[in-house]
Amino acid sequence: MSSQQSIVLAMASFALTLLFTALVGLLGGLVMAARSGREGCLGHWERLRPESEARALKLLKGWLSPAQLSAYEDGRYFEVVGCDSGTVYRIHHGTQANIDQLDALGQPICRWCFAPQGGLVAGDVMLAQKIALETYESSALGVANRLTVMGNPRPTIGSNQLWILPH
Amino acid sequence: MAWTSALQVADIRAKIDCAAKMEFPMPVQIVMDRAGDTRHTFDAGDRAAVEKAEKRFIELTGAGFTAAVRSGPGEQRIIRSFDASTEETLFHPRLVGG
Repeated sequence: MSSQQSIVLAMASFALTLLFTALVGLLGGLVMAARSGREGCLGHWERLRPESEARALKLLKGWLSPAQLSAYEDGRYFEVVGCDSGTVYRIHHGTQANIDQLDALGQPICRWCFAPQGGLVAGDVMLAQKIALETYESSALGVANRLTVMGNPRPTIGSNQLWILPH
Repeated sequence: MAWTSALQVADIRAKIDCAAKMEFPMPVQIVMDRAGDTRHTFDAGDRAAVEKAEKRFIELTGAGFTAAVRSGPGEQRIIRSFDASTEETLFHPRLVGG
């Protein structure tokens, strides 16, 4: 191999190395841009959600009775008594279909689904549900959807239950 | 003698301030929202602040919010009209079926 050929080869390999480095850098930049773009697309409220959840739970706990608070801290649910019917409801931590209506034996017989408008976090939803059932039960259930248990009419707590919307 | 008088005046002023705070506590209106809640405190002894709070109450309830106040441990009642002496009023948005 002549010295001229060696020089050309060296220059070509140098150029290839530069090109490869530039490509890797470009790809890395594109990945970073895509990631930051995705984060940018996350809503303002989504980023604040953990803080909102904590704030709402603090508010909820301040409005629960000692027994309700104890139940919530033990099992992430608490029970309320409907002001109009005297029915006992179990409000589970959550924002949708999270209210069980209990029978005299404390078994769920149906599930209610209602919540305040506005995409609120769980603590706020549960507090609004508690206030509604304890102070204006009938009108609250008037707007709610009722889900009934299919199959076993008295399922045990924790068993697999299938809740269906009535026709 | 002058020092004693100054101290007495300061003491009396502190007592008046304390009494005023006891008579006019800082009520708070808590409005549930996507941030958890937003709190609006106002001075119950300040007429303009009370009027602003009343306006907020009327606007919120007019928009479908329910106003509740605590009436005991774990107990609450719904209020339909503004009361400046209420220490804490909670507003939750209109309920809808899920």
